[in-house]
Amino acid sequence: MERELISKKELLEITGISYGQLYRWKRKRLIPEEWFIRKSTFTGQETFFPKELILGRIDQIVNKKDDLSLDELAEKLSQSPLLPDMHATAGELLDRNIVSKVVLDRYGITPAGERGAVYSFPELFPLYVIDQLLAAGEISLEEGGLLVETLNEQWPKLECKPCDLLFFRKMGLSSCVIVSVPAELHFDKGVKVVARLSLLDLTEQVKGKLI
Amino acid sequence: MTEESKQDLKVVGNSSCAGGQYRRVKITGECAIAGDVECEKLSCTGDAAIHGNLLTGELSMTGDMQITGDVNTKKIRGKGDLVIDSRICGEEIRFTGNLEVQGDCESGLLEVNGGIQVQGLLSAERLQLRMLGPCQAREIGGGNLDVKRSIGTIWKQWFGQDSQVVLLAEVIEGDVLNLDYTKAGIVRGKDVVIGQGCEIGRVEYWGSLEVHPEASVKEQICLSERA
Repeated sequence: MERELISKKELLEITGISYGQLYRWKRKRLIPEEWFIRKSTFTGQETFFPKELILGRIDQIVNKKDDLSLDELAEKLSQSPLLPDMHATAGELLDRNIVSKVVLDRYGITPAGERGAVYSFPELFPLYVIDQLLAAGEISLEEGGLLVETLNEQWPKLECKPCDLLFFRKMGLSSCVIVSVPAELHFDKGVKVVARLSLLDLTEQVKGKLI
Repeated sequence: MTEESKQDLKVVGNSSCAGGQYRRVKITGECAIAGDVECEKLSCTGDAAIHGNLLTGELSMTGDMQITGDVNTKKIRGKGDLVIDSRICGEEIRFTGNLEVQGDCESGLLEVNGGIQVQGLLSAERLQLRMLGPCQAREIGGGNLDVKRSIGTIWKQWFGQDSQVVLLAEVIEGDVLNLDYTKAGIVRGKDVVIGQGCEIGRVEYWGSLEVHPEASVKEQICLSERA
């Protein structure tokens, strides 16, 4: 999936922030380092950002910086990259294409059809993950259940460390595992790794969609 | 570890020790520290090497210091030679001498008298650089950037050795820029003053631009008024 990028110059023009602010926020870790993507262009090196993510983040910072100090804000944003304090109703999840109806009906916290049900981030995130995998045709609905269970169970123990989710099969049996990165895993020959997803990337995607 | 159980570390003479959590670390002489150091204040006179990360409230040094890991600190005050193999992040850095950083160097206030070499990004809300030797950074970004030659360069000028005293950078971006003796590919900013001895490939500015007659700017572009 190719993310839309925005150059630093454009970003400053659109948002009206200054270089000083941008670099200060970077230093305070309000903007993650990974979002600074250096690319060569015909005019030399330029820095780009993932458009959706950075615009959402800057909007957040600009709106909140009057109430909170930058350090407090940094704490809030970075303390729990995997557990943001966000909520969405079932209806919103569907409308914003975060979770498909099939998944919501099957694994949702309330019986099908209730658009008003409120999901907290830890509740909706597993649904997004399996939705992605289902859409890619990599897992079946039953296997999705396994993933939801694992994520729900292991989530609190991750303590917001950067993690990868691996889903693999051997001789028709499927299994999943969450590993904290960076880690290399070596399987025996019979194992087929179906998917390896960075949970941090996925949370950022969801956050971007929710903002 | 609770606050009370942290101890001071004092090293006098020539020795080595393990890293760890300390209250104050004071080194006089020569010392190699193996491992990460976390302390409220680290002061060093002489020669020190830290093989690990350094997290400290304040670092004050005179002499040589080498740190292989990341440096995270509020305040740095020092004279001498500071070499950091990784990155450094601070609030207030005032340094006289030579500062060498392999990664990024980020600070709120950065005042350097002497030379600075940053392989990555050099960013500061306020940068005040007084060059006395070769300075170099891949990318410079920040709010208020002020680059000049140090008064001491006058001596070098007499002996014809001042050609080295320039700042080299690929990209310089900031809100208020005041540059002397700078060689850069692109300079981008709001209010830009290109002083004497500059060689700039392209200047892009939003507000105002001033170019010294003894400076060379190949291309200048005024970007349309910002919203």
